[in-house]
Amino acid sequence: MKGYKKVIGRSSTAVQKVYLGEHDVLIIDGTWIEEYRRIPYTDITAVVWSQTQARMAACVLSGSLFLLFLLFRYAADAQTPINAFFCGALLFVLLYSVLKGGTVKCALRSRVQQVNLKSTNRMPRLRKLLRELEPRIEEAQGRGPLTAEEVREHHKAMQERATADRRGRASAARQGQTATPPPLPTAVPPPLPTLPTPRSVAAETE
Amino acid sequence: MSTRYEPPLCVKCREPLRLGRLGNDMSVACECWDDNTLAVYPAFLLEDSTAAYEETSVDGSTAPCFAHPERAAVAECAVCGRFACSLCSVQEGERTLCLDCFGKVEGSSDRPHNVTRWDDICIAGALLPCLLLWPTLVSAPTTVVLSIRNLRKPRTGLRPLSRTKLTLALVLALAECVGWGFVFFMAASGGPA
Repeated sequence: MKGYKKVIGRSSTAVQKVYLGEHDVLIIDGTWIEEYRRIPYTDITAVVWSQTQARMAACVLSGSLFLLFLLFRYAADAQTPINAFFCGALLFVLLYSVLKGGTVKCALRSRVQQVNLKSTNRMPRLRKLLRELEPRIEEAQGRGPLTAEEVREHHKAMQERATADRRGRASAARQGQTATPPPLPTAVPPPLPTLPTPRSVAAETE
Repeated sequence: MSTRYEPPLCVKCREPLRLGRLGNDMSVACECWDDNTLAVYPAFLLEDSTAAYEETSVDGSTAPCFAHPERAAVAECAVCGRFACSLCSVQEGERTLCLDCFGKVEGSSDRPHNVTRWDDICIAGALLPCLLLWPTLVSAPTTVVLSIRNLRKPRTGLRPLSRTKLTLALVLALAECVGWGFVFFMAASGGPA
């Protein structure tokens, strides 16, 4: 793809590709109908990730089933091709889970949205993404990642401002409720013109 | 330009993270007991808790944005007339458009939001029905038509359709058509079929 470098391809569980361009990150979702999303480097505020237990679960499950099939194969003397196939498949799943690295859930946060990076589901993939992404963000935003102290200070300042703003609006609303309504105009309106009735017209003619 | 402050969300429960508790290793525990690790960039410092109320609105009043009711509108879409905030308004030449209209106007076709991958669909249409054989009677001619139609389209967009895939799908589908033709011919002439 012209001007874009593919960083993350589809994973075993998700179809999402991540490309890095000159000015933005391009995230393509879907297989046959692709949805494009672009996030400019200048708008990226954070990459958030959390380690999950999926790898551990896959290892425990496939490992225990592999041992069970192996035990069955040799203890019960059931050396059938089906048994061998299951042993091989489970060993493959076990090795795949171990060698691919820890599982993570990852998201890219911009100033208006947070996009889940579904294909970035392993630690090595996340490291690769950060390795490619951070120099581009640094170039666009002028400096590298913030320190924990800077983030905490900004968060605290924003929360204080938001609280003060809320209090200000609440007190303004209270003042608006207790204020006396403006006085009614005291001037007496001019009398309505008296229209001639049929009786008065008849009296005048008599 | 500053935007409204919202802390990053937990990747599991999508609740705002309490960054006041951020550790020096850049990890913070969410209320769902999940540890989130962050890499935070300088654009985060541009987020402002009062930014939504400081913007100059379209007519001096506080008309809200159509997509973000909490933000003041700064422009009016030249096509649909919706009010748009600074995040939703796009300058297209001399006009200001909202994001929906920007996606629809001519000239922005090289920056689409959705693309149908006809090359992948044609390949799947040529290969997958072979598993059951008889569906190829319908799928093969359909794939031939689709492949030819998409081969004739100009190669535009960010990821243009692959001519190699379309040609391969066309060749496979034609081979299937020839195969069915042979079967029908043999059946008609009283051959082994």
